[in-house]
Amino acid sequence: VIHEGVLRHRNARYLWVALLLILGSAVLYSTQRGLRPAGGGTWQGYVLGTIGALMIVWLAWLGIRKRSYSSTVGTTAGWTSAHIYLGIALMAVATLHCAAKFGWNVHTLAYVLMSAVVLSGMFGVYAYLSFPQKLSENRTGGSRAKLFAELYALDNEGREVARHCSASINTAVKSSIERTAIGGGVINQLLGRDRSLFILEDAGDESAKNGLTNNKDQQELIAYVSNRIPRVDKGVEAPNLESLLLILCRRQAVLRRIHRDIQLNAWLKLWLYVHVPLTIALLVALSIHILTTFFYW
Amino acid sequence: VKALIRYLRQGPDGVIEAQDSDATVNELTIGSAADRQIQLIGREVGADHAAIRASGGKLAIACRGRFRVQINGKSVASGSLALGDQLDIAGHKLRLFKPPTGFDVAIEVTLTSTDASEFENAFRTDLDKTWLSKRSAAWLLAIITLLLALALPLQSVFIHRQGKPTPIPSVDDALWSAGPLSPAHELAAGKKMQCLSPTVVRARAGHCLPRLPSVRRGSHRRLDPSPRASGNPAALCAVSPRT
Repeated sequence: VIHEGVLRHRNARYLWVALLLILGSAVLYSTQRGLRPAGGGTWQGYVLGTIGALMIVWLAWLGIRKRSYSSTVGTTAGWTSAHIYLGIALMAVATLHCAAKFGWNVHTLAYVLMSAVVLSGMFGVYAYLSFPQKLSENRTGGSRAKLFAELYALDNEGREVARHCSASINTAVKSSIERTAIGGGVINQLLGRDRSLFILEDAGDESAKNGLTNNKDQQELIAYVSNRIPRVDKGVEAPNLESLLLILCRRQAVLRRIHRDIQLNAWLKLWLYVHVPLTIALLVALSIHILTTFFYW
Repeated sequence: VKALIRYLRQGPDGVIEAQDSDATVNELTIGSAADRQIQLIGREVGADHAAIRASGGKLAIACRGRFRVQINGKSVASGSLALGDQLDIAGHKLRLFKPPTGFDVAIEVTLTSTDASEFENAFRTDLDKTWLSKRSAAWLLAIITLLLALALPLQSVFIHRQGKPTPIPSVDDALWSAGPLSPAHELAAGKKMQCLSPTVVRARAGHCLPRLPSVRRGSHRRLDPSPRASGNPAALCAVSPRT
């Protein structure tokens, strides 16, 4: 997991490398004088362009390096630190290369894609710096696997206790376990949406279709069971309902953590679904940019 | 199908405990999801793994998607079942036994001890399990970029040669031009150009090229004197029909 240590890797060595690179590029840029306006067509522009292109290829290489566990060339933390700082420096190098001249052409397309890659990467850095802490707090030091194991145990306990309750309670609890929605599609994961349902046999309102009632956050089921406690036989069913209520409340707490965990994890990974495809598109656009530049040579 | 499901579990004292449940359903579903009639959890068990159906007095099992089941030690995606058949799904043992009166099918389930945390596999809890795919998106974006930035402008070059207009005017080889001053003109550094074009265009230095269709390598040559050298701010793009 990337954490603050990556940014401070070896006393933020790559931050200084990136700053030096930006400074050197700015000095080179400032030497563009005379009749020729600053831009990618001057020798300085070509040098900056070559540096930028090599940086893009090298930065993209990190994707392969991360999967090469046997590699002894540097550490993953070092590569990642360099990736972050030099990726941001690339924005400056590329802007100086084109002298901030943009148009409706493949060259600007490459620049736009590069900017999108860098921006998505910056979101990735933010995500890796902030979400792991939230994930850890939500799991209270445990793991997602533990939460699911706890949920499975509570499901079985809940089913068992509900079997000794009235038919309507048994149906409500059994159906709530069977229709507990966890995760799901992209939007549901990102929004942490809970579309759980349960069968309420004596549902009176019109909102319940075919007895199915919204059970978001398990709240309706808990309210239904707790409302039944004062109305049942104190000697027999009440203790069962009380134990059931306890199980349902514990289950609600576990489910809340699971929903939050899935949501945070989805946001933590989402940027990669933008960053990686855009990087590939950037490599294609960069190749076309170079090809067409020499086509006009 | 009126089914009797008998779960056999080994208690902490080593004694096997049986727990019966019944279900009246069209098909007996097996999987890790909580709403399956036979819930089995495990890394290799799908949320909706397989289903047992009765048809004409005979039983058959059919797996969903890529999942498989072992019937008497043989791995299959589907197959017919008979009394006494042993099924194995990710280590969980299922055995068909003679159903008591009133039941169409009776099945004994011996659950293997699995890590309860594998219950997570019953749900889609990761973006990797959704339609989102980095690989597909990368291919799509790469193809779109190749098409818009290379293939279509290249096609326009050939269309221009035939003297026809391009189908999409904004997507032609002008997209390849870096701007008003092409690198070729820049390197010519103030030389007067002769551009191979069907028309004569008088323009400021360098401003003729980008607007000409299909400007290609070698399609212009230097003429003297240089407009800049002579103090003339304009360049003459003179012309000969393309052959």
